[in-house]
Amino acid sequence: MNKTKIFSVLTGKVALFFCLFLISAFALLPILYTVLASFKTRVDLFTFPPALIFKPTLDHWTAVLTASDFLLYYKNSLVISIVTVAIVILVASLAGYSLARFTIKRKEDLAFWMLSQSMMPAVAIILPLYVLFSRWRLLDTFRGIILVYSAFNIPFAVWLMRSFFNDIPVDVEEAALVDGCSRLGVFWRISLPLVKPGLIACTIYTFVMCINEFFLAFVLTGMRVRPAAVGVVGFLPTGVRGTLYGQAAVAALLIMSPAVIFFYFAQKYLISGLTMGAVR
Amino acid sequence: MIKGERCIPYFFLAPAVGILLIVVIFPLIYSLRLSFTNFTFGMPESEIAFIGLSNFIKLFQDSYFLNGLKLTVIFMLGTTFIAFLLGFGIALLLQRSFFGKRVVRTLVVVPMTITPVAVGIIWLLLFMPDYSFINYLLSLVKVTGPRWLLTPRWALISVMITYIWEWTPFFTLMLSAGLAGLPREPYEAAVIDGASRFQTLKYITLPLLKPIIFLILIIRMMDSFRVFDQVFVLTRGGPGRSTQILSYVVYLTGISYRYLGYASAMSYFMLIILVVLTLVLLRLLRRS
Repeated sequence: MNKTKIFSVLTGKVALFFCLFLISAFALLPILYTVLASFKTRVDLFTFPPALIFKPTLDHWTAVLTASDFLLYYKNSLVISIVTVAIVILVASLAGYSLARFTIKRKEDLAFWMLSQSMMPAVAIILPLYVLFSRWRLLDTFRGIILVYSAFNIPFAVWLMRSFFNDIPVDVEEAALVDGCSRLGVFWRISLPLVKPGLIACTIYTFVMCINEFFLAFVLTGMRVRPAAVGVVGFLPTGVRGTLYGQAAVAALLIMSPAVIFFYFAQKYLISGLTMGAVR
Repeated sequence: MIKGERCIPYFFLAPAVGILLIVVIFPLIYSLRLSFTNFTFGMPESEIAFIGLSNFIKLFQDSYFLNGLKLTVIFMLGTTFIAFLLGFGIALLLQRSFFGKRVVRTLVVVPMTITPVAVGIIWLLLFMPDYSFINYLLSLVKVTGPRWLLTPRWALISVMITYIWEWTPFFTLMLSAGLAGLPREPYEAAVIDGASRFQTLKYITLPLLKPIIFLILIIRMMDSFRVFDQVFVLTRGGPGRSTQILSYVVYLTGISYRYLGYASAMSYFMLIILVVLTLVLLRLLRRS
């Protein structure tokens, strides 16, 4: 290679690296800024130009974790999410198994309907749910919000479990049936253990969806059952005081942690799964 | 396929279908009925009246609703296409293997995994009125930044920037996977035939990616049409009505102002638009 070619290759690589650095920075800087802000004193938060070097403080962290109800809201989120996950994987694996194995009249139509339900916008039913829940006394109750979250997560979970059940061999199940095992027994003891990856994927996805959900919880819960996502909004301006920026930053970091952590671990499978699918 | 006894399949399906019927289908029907009435929350039984299609007709004369519709369409098209262009560019850059590729890929994907409410807070901190970090960066290149969240036009732009930041990784991820799955032969032939990089992009890459591009565009359009969380956190619809996207208008009309009949009509209108988009999506899915 002569000199000009080496030069152009090098500048090409440098340009590429520069672009990639910019892109990664753009993706991460906002988050880093939030982390910084959570440690800034109130004086430092309200300075221009923004202080990049400052004396850190734990005031906001202690305020959120001890002086506010945020941890209570977080506990509510966990309760809601865990119970929803339990309901969803049970109900969805049963339904998914049924769609995978049994012959049912108009099965494909049913499966199609199930898929379409997964795209139901919350805004379409949030109003009637508000009215109906207030009549049925389900507003601001765990039962109420768990029921709604379950309904919203079941369709996708059913599709997921159905595809996993379709991938496991039928032979073992048939053998068990011949040996006199009940349908439910086959499902519980043979099929379910074989789709463990599917159950895990379903659990993670549903759990994250529940923790992150805001709109429905905002409308259908009040002070008793308030989840963390709604609690974050408590640090925004009320009529009386302005935004509590430092505490809002802490709350945001706390609430995004589950999702980011889960997705970090899941992304390896996510990306490889996507690219493998594309190659095939 | 194993043949089941008569009832068992239905027992297996019953819980799932049952929950969906009670929590989704029944409220949907109830909402439809509501949209034909003048129901306001707290109204005595005697005053509730069936008013036919007048709610729906009123929608198209209502400046609040029409404003919301206009804003939502701008938001939907703007964020989807800009995020697509950015995501495509990044995916193209990520095509070659280089040192630290996997790290970059992981980092780039992070924004779309963050809770929408948290995304709102993150950008609220960056757009902080009078103390905005972004304005600081702009001042370094001698540009005076606007008062982001406090000016009507810039508020909408702020919200769109936030959403674009959040969802560009979706396009990056999908298009990366799509690009990785493309066959090599057309490219080899193009090199032999002396095609420029731009020509390769235009005549080979884009046509091959067309199905996946349509798919992801529709998916994002559907999602951006119903945006709520981020806008609520950043501007709560303000200043004035400059960021009152449709979901927020529905919330305001139905929950804050309690005009549930009218708001139901609004939400049904949104549902119809989304159903149309869903049908387009499903047809695209079936084809590929």
